[in-house]
Amino acid sequence: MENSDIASTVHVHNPHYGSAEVPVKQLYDFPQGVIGFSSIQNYALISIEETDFYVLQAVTDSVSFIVIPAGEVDPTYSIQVDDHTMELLEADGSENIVPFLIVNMIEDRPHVNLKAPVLLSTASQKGCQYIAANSEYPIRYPLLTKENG
Amino acid sequence: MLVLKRKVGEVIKINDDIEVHVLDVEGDVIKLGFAAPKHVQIMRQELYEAIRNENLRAGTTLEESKQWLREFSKRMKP
Repeated sequence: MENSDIASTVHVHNPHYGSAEVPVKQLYDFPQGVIGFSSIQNYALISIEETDFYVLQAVTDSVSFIVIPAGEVDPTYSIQVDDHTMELLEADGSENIVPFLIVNMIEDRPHVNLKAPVLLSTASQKGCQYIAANSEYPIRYPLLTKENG
Repeated sequence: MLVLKRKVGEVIKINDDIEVHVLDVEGDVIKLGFAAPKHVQIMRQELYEAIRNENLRAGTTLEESKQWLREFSKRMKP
């Protein structure tokens, strides 16, 4: 099986970060896409070296998002995920789902969307964007640095 | 678009499993109640649009450099 693992990579290209050979284990199927990008269903999760950030890069499109595991921003981050979403993600339990927050630059300052995280099920390699409609989490939450926080 | 007139206390049915209840009217504000299966996502349009706009911005305007992210992540560490 080791040989097939080595061969199992997919070439993705991002105009900002360059090209990468991504192991198929890092590919995620988004059956519903990401809100606003519903036609794009295949993404690769690529870690940005020496950072806690990742790029969620569409495999066959130039669209990409900078994301960060929610736990890196707020260790207490918690949302209720409904049964339908669990089925969509083909996840057995919530412990197998990792919430990532989409990073957005607002006036040169990084913000994260706590309201609508991207949920990745690592075992099934399914993903979706989940709207925690009833939560108090904001759509724009500033990522504070040590210096200015 | 289908247009229906309803009074307070009346209900609109959508398919077998969705109900929209007219709970109260105060001036130009209508209070609605929704009963639907869990998989039906119900939210204010403003919320959906706000998330969509945030995504469109995040997904297409990645001008910030990898280097910047690296520096930023270092600063986030204690």
